[in-house]
Amino acid sequence: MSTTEDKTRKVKLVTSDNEEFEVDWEVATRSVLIKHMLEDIGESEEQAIPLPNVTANVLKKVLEWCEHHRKDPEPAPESSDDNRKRTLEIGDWDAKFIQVDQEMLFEIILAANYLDIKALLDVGCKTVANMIKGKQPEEIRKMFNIVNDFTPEEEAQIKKENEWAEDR
Amino acid sequence: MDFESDGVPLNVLFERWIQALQSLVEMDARIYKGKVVLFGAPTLDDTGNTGGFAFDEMPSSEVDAKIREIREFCDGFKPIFDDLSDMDRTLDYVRNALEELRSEANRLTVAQGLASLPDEVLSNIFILAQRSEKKGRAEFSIALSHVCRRFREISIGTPSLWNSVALMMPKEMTLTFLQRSGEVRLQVTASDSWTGSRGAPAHLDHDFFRAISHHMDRIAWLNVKVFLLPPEHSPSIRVLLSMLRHAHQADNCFPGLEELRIEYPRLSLQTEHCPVDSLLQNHVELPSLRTVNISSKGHFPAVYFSNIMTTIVVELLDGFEKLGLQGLLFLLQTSQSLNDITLVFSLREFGSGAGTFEITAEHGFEAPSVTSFVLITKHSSMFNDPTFKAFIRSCCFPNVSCLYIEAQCGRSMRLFEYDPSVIVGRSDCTQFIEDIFVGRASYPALLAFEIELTTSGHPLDHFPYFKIPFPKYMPNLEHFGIRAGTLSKICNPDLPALRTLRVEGCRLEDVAWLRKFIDKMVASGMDEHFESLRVSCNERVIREIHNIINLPKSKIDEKIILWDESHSSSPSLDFYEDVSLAEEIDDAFVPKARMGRRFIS
Repeated sequence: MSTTEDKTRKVKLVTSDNEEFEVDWEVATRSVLIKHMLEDIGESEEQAIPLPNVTANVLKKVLEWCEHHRKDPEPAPESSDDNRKRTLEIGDWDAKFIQVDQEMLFEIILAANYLDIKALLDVGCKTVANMIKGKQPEEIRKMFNIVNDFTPEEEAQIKKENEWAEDR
Repeated sequence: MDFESDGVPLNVLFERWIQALQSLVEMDARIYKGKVVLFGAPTLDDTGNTGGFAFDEMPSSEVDAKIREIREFCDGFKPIFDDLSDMDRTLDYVRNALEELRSEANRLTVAQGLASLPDEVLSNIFILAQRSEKKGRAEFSIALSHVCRRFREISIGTPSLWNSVALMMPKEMTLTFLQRSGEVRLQVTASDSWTGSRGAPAHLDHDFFRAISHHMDRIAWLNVKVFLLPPEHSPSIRVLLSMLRHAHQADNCFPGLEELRIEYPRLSLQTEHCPVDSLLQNHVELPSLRTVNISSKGHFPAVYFSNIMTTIVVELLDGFEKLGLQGLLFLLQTSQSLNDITLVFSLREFGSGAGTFEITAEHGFEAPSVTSFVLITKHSSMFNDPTFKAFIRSCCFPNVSCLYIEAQCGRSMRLFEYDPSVIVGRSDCTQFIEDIFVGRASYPALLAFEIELTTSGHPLDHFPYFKIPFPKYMPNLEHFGIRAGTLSKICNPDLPALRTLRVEGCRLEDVAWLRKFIDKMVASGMDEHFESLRVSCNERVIREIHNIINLPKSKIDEKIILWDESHSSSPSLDFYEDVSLAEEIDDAFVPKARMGRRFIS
């Protein structure tokens, strides 16, 4: 539970390329990783949080998302085996936010995963999921330059699995 | 790239292009006032006559000479122009080659990006992509595992990609899916849909039951789709009976079952028992059951709700008998725990079987636990059906907080009782809406109301409108949503103060009532409480909204979304997107050879 003091507090973050960002506590703690690190260092306001896996240009983008979603409630935990239909739609603002070049898209996903920002990770994953949904193996290989590297034994198993589609 | 090594190098073309360009220079070609002028080309006024060759004083020999001169010049210029065109074409090829390179680079970037993702993130992406498919999820899981070794390892290591098994799956496939699904909860689908007119293959149900019998505790979602009668001919029912026998021999319980979806066959009975009913009648314990989804073409089971069941979706299909509505009403009346109810009238008319529906209580039956009610009618014939109307008037949800209505109600309204004023070209749906509110004078718990009235698209359809006293029925309403694009242009809802408003397919005519609403909110100081406005419309309406509506933007989260009219009909509310109807049951897998012989019920 955050206090009023927390909300006015500033947090310093240092990226892998040594750039320092000062942001509101409420914005920084969208990241569960940063939240836990802040809990670990306690009241020490001067101490900067090192983020060795995130560069400045990516953190800037991630913080833009955190700023916009600073007041959002914590996402409810989802069960991974829940069979209900899930949509790949994302909100209007998030859709515009994630319209970035491909390099940045994957950088954002990696950063969201590292920083443990579930809702942002979800936006990135949905964007990639949209690229592969409904595609056949060959189409996926072509799209991502993937080489078919199966061993002969695996190929034999795959052939068998393909026969499932035929009548017995 | 696999090109022939003797392709023509571009430098052999350069000589011709340079000569062509040089010729342009010699012609003194210049850009003059935005046009290319060939100053070296013959002109018409070199005879000394500033007017050139005037019509009434045309010296024929000079004209002939001039025509020849110009034609010769043009003929001489043609090879130059051809070379220049060739250069232009070649530059296009170069541009395309560059574009292809750029796409290759993008593709490599995506590939590199995808390869850099940790396994758990890729696994999550696989789950998202698979869950977004309405049907064919099993095929997609298999496809993912056939891409490459890493995809195969990750997908096989993601149990929830394999947790759906279906009666129609080949035995080996079912066993593989069950094994790969590890310990996660299972979805089991027993459907007759694909058994074909020759009946199901021998031992189909026996093999399937044997496979799932070791995993009964893991079954969380059970779909049963029965088409074949009598019951002993239905492999789905045979699977279900085996499951029930198995339960009776054990602790008489399906401990993990959370959601049950049943599509009933065309049974012309209310008295006849369908074996599937046993699941809903306390013959077996279902301690985790929360949601029941029933689709029926004629039969409605006597359902005994457990005290933890919260959600029911009922879809009435063509042939449903009026008497079955009594069962549905009884269910609503006796349920203590039901929160969410969705009624989908997909039928055009009720079945012709014996029995009628009668209301036995003056103001209908109250179901106080219900807080969310979704009513959908898919055919305008139902809109004015007396049995439908009587049923709707019988249901009363005094504590409803969310009410969502979608109704098709456009056809030939003058034949309908719901059109007292007979306004040509428009149909008054006020009475239809008021019928839903029968039972209580007011619904103070109602906070959210969305409505979507449509026509069938027939040219004789009349556009619906309504005029209801919002403060009377819903004094505490906070949210209102409307699909404006399908309504009559005279529809002009007089809205109370709200927190949120959603208008889909807003037209120019709607801007006036929207403005009236906003002005009223601002004038009364209620805009302090107004939090969000979402409007979808075309560009012209966006301009109109910005021109005439003065939104206190600092306070209101405003979303004006451009709706591309060329791509879709008027945007809908989609409030029932999560409602899964029987037709959406994924048969999970259908071998190709059976595709052509779907059982026709």
